Amino acid sequence: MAKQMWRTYDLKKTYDIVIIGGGAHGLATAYYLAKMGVKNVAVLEARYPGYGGSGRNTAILRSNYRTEEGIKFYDQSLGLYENLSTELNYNLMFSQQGHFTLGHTESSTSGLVTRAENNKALGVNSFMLTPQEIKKKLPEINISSHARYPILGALYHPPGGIIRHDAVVWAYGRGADKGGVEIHNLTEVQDILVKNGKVEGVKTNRGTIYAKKVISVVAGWSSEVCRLAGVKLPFVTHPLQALVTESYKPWLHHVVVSSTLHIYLSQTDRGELVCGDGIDGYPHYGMRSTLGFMEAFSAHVLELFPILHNVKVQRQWAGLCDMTPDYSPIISPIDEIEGFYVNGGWGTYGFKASPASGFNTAKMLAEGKVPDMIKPFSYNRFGENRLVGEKAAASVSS
Amino acid sequence: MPDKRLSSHAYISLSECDQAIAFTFNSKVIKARSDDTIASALHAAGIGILSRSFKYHRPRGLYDGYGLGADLLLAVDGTPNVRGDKTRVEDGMDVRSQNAWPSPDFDAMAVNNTLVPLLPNGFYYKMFHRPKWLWPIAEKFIRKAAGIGAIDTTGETVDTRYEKRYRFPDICVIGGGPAGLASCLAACQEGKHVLLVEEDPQLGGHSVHTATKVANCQDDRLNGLSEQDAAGAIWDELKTYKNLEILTSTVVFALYEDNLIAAQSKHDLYKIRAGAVILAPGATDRHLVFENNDIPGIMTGRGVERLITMHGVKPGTRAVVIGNHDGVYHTAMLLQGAGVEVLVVADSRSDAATTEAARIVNENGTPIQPLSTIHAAKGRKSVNGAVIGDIAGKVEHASYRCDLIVIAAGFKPQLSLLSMGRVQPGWDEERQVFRVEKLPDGLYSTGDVHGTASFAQLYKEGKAVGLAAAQGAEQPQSVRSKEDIIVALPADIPAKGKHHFICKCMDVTRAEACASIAEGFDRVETLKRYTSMGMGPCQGKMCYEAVARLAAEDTGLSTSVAVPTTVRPPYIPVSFGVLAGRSQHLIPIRRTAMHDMHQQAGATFLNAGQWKRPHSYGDVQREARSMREGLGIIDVSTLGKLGISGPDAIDFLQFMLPGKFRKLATGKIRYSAMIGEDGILFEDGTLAHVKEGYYYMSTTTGNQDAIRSLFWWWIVTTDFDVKIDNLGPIFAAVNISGKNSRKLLEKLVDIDMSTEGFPYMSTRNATINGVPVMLFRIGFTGELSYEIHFPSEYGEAMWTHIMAEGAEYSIKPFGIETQRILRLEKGHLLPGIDTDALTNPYEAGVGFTIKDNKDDFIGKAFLKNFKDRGIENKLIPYKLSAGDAIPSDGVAILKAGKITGRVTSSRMSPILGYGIGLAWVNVDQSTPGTKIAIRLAGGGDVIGEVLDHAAYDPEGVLLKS
Repeated sequence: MAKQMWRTYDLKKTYDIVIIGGGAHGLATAYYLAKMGVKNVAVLEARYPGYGGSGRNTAILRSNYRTEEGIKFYDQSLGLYENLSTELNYNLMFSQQGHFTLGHTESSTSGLVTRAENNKALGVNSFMLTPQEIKKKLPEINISSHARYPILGALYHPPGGIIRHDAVVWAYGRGADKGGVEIHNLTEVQDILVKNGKVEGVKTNRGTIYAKKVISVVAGWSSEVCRLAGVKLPFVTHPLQALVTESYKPWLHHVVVSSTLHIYLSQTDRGELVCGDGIDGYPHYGMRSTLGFMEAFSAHVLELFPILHNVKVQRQWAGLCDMTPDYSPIISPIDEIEGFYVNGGWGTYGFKASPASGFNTAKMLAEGKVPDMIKPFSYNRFGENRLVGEKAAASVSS
Repeated sequence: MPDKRLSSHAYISLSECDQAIAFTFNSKVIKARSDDTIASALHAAGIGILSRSFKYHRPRGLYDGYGLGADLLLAVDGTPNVRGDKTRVEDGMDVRSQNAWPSPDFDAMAVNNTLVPLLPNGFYYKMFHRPKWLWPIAEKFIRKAAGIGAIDTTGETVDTRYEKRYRFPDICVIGGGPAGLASCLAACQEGKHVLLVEEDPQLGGHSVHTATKVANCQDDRLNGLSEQDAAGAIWDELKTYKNLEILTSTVVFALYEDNLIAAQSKHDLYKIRAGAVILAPGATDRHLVFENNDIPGIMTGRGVERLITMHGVKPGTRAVVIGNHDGVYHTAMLLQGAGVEVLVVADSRSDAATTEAARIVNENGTPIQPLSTIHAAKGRKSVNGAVIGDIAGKVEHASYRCDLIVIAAGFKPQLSLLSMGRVQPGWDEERQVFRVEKLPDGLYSTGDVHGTASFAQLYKEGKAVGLAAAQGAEQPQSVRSKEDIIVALPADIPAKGKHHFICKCMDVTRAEACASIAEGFDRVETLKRYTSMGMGPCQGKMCYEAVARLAAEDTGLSTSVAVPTTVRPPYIPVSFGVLAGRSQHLIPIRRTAMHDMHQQAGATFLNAGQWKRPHSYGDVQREARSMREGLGIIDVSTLGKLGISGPDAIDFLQFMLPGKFRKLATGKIRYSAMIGEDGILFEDGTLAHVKEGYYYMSTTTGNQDAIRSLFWWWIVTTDFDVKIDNLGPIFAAVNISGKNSRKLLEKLVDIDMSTEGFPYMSTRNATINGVPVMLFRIGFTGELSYEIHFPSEYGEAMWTHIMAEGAEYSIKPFGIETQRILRLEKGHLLPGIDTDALTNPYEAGVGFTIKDNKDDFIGKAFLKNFKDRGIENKLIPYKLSAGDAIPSDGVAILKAGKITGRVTSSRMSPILGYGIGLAWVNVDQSTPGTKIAIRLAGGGDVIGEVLDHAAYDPEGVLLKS
């Protein structure tokens, strides 16, 4: 009989660290904490591992961001991903197939050039291609000047790719469990106990537990969870939709993203085209699918790849995105409440950050001081008006 | 090959067998009837294996004949993954098998199947990742083997015409079976506008293959008719209603919020918004799990009934029939009537059925085995035997040599659309089905979806629900009698064997599911993701009930708390083409009123937001020079234009914009930056006080819709009493620029054009050729310029008139690219091009427009923060030396190997003879005269010199002349 991925435990009275949220970030944090020797840790998951964004994203990985802070952080993440299958002894099927960001307007192409230069300067493999060079790698793409928004160029990023997202969640969960972390499923946090400016613990549907440190790692639900501690976050939560086609013989061997057309697509090792769009234009907590999304995506993808007209959509779904004003996350202590931390604001770009987010969050919790890598992502930056401008590189969710 | 076509049937009349159609299957010519599906025609031709399974390449043949499963995915005329049992044959069709080589009969990849015992559950996560280099190699092979159909990359079918259609009925009835038809009838009788949508080409649902006589129906004229004929009679009656539209061969694939229904009919997408929706999708054969339950030759009860009654095909020669309800005898009777030898009916119940069909079956000599069911199917590529035994799977009763096993194990409600109504189905212990009792307001459901029932009962219920929907009343409760209820067999007949397939699409067995549960995937959601059962082409339509029941059972729960996983749209896969419709792009193309004139003048166009604007009329450098040297005209109709008036107009503007405008006299214009709540510079424009209390604001092309929405948003969320006229599309505009522009204007209008009479940054009203116009003395190019705004309908006439009058000064049109060079010569920034989402307005050099010593306005708090912080980076104009390469927009500026800035706009200036641009640099590089190293995209640097002024006419003498 194969070994269980994670064990079940009774809830203890106290833990050193309580992690709220059993998604990729929460479980990665737990895994790296265990690796750093911190053992008395509980992950509290309201449903099951990977219920939220970790299981709903389109699993695209890349590091060719725009700002120095963003590039360094995501480069660390991609580096960790590259070794993760081996480290966790679980095939995460990381397919490093290369990643295109298409430019269709002068201003977007100019932004891509800036990214290429910034990436190059920081050692990230990412460079511009002409439409003819794009066509060589993607023979069926429409580079005609008669397109509604003709392709003017692309930022190409060879180490980018796709991964099996659920497997990342499971493997981190298994690794954390092995390291002694307790993963508690179906354990919903109903209140965060704060006394005299210090966190004391959390109240759950299975009872109250006490902890010196509590961190919220719940992505789309961050505003609601942090409100329990009286912390107001500068997040606006939007739905983000995605769809997947039937399985076809693998034909597309690269990730293709176009922010002007609001689309991105890739083809998995199972043959399905996994596709997405920008966030829905309205804040909402309902993870509902719309016909409008499928219609818009279809019209736009056919502009890029007309041959896909008889390729069929098999399933559509939605997830939640907690958007910050600058499209960069918050990984930070909350100064007003000693022992309370937030990891959130991952918008549409959280999954690719999971390893670096988990690693640095774990370091922050274990050492009690914020690692340099994530200092720019402080909670206080909004009050101080020190934003990290990743809007141009992070929009359209890929 | 034996022909399996029936010429007659002992108990029912068959439709004419014309065999008029011919198509090819893997290049072999097949004859078919016009009412055949591809699958029925192939079955008739004796072709048993039509495809191979996804993972283990196990053979697949006709199963339910209804396209719910993914057994028969074929390539048809180049289109991959077509459902063979849902698609009608057409003459000359080219049908090919997929995912099998060299043929579905002898598939080399079937070697996977023999490896099954070696592969652990979830094997893909447990292999090929150590050592690290192995995976990229393994992945290549996996990708070669993966996938079902091949995408047609030739593009030969790309010109298919797709259409979108819209309907707005009072009531939309989905499903034309007995209950759906009855509810239609009731709603029509109430005078409602009704739309009936049916997936099949004909109405009647399962009645069309049911010979049973209707009895005890409230509508007496239907009693005594066969169900087939009764459904036909209702259809005939419905045809007399003018307030009813019927769409057949149209499948509803999704139900969204507010009763938005999406349906597909071949290449058309129907978008239906209904007052009320009646869901009558019916029920389909249960998927029974047992040893070898996926071999070709195993078919469902309704599958064989359809084959016989609708297509006149004999399903097999020697059959074993498995069932647990009276309907199984109807199936057996139809088989016998078609000349199939029915070896046994294994009925899991203890008491014999007393129906007419049961009597006939018995009379024909078929033994009936009570308390029995199937333990295993035998055979590799097709069924050659069946083992019958007790329901507990412990004791074998008998083995039979047969080529057909018919599973008539009852029915599962087709819940997909009901689940899309955001209600979680639950197990109804009494009715022995998953069911949704109550849907949200405006949604009704009726028919077999509440558990199967007699025709009379379905008719009665359908009528009541149709009436309730018409009257906006509560949905009447569905009622099922004891006789209607089919006690479910175990979801998996637990006899020995390792090939109990829960999910046929993804080849997932019970054993694999159990092993996965033991690993901790102990919820139906995680189990589904880990094993991928229910995630294949059928998306659980075939197996949802078995998956939910077995997941509950194997995780130690009872069926009563089992839940199926969430159903997501679409119900059937829908192509991008159908979803996209005729448009290849959803963003409309906007053209100015003078577009055709530009085209005639030889302009090439570029996209500016949604607009098409002339890029140039040929040679950009010449265009730029000719404007500077004489007279040019540019179409600026795409600018946003807002008319702002009302009692609070000036207060509103003081709040929206960073400057002070109370003292802006009538007839005067002022430039303004626009600042977001975060203090970021995101837009600029001009504000003209055109007449007392009426302000006219122009914004950039790309932002015009966003600014209009923003202004409206603030009006509806505050108390300002302000009116905003969106004049963007109403007014066309041109800018006349160059030394001779005053002379031309003097010809065109009858007002004082002198420097004193009409100074820089002022506005006047005038008429040109009888057309009222607004004149603005502003310009982006640095030359003496006038902007003329006038009603759009005069666009062409005005353009023609100005060109004719300007001919004596050699007026030439110029495009956006030329304008960009000209403005760069003046060092003017363009929001969105020279700014980004974090641009500090003080650093961008527009601090002069900000008057922060006034009452609260948008962005005030953050602007103070920016101001206190001081300048850290700066947007500066720079120039290159003559002969330097022109860098592309976006390249980096370096200092000591580190990036310290970036070029945002870079062009060659024809009038100056060297490259110029705007760039963001660190403040310590921003002093005029500083040399900056600009890294060219292809490598190598050029050195720019920071300027403190516009490269061209720094004092603005020309502009103000």
